[in-house]
This record gives sequence, structure tokens and C-alpha cells, in this order.
Amino acid sequence: MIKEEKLKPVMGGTEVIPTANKFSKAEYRSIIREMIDIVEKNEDFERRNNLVRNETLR
Amino acid sequence: MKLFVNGENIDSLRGYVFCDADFLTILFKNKDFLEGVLPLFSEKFLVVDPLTKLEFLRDVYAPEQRILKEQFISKIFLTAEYHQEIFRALDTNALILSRIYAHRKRPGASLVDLFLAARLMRLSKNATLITGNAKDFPSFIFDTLSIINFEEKDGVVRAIPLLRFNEDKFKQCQLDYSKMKI
Repeated sequence: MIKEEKLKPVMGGTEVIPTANKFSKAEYRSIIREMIDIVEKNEDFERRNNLVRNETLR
Repeated sequence: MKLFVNGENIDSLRGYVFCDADFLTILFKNKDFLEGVLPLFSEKFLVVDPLTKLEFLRDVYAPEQRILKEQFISKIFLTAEYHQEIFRALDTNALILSRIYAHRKRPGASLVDLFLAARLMRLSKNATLITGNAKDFPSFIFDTLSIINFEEKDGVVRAIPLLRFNEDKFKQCQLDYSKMKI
């Protein structure tokens, strides 16, 4: 007879995730601004990439 | 951009808020959404699982873009622990969940999302998930606490749910599974 391996679920974990970088409201706002800058740089990058791709296809 | 939040107040959520790779990608591709949604979590700890981080960073061809992604993810997100003891627990939980998913005719969850679900199961009440794609976190195991809706540039309205592992639902699923005859 086949027996399936019995597995015991593991719940109630309490690991502490390092929270050293808890930011003040002003810091948080400034970090969001930095993230928006990164997203804009990525948009520029993708735009340039698309231009190159379109040129190549022409 | 206007966001519409339904359900439980985000401020009242307990514990950590885990982000999946789809949510990170939406943030990375949509600055208006990022600007609107991140302030909602200013009092929370936004966390990424190491496997989610890997999924977000993988398959980038151009070094310039890879650097941008690395800078992006290092700004605000904490990385969850991933040592051997935790891996063993997540590995077990992931296998149990995959059996339940298959039993409920929902196989095929990605490995990364399966491990993330296992992590949420391990932390249960101490963790919430914000996801861009809820299909790998089915409602027979997870509760939807809140939904953030926003309109994309092309007019399509997207829904970003906040989910939490429900131990009672899980136990019921496990009971149903145990009734299967070999």
C-alpha cells in the first residue's frame, strides 16, 4: 500500500525582519521622490530602446 | 492619479506587508501609481521575500536597466530572512499548499509565489500580501482584506488586492484533502 508522507504545517513564525530603516515622514517622501526619478530614468531608457528597435526594423 | 481603496483600512493592518514581483513591476513601470500608493504604507514595513527579489531582478539584458532595478528595490523594501531553518519550514509549507491547490483544481502556481504563500502561512496573522496578480493566492486559503483600484493611462482599471492567510480556511482544506483515499 502506498503511504503519503505526512507533512506538518509550520505556522506562528515570529522572525523579526530588520526594521532599521524605518523612515520619518520627510525621509519617506524624499525616498519616494528618488524612486520616481529611477522610474523616469527607466522610462527614458525604454524610450531610447524602442527608438533603436524601430530604426533597426525600418 | 486617483486611487480608490475598498475594505479594511491600510493603517489598521498588523505586521509586515509583503510585496510580490507583479506589484513591484507595476510600481517600477508606473510612477503615478507609485506616487499614489506608497504614501498609503508610510507607517508600514514593506517587505520582499528573497525569491521575489530574484524574480524582479532576473532576465534584464541591459546593465543600465539592471542597475536601475537594483537601486529601485534597495530604497524602501526590507528583505525577509532566508536561513536554513526558515527555508525548511517554507519548503514544507509550500509542498502542503501545492497539494491543496492541486486538490482544489488550481495547480500550476509559480514556485516563487508558492514560497511566498508558504511564508505568509508561516507568519499567518503577522503578514499581509499586496499583489499585482492574486491568482496564485486563491480565496480558499487567503482572505481579501482590501483592494486598491487605479486607472491606467489606457483607461483600464486595475485592482491590487491585499491578502492574508486564513488559518481556518487552510485547516478546512487540509481536512478535505486528508479524506482522499489512496
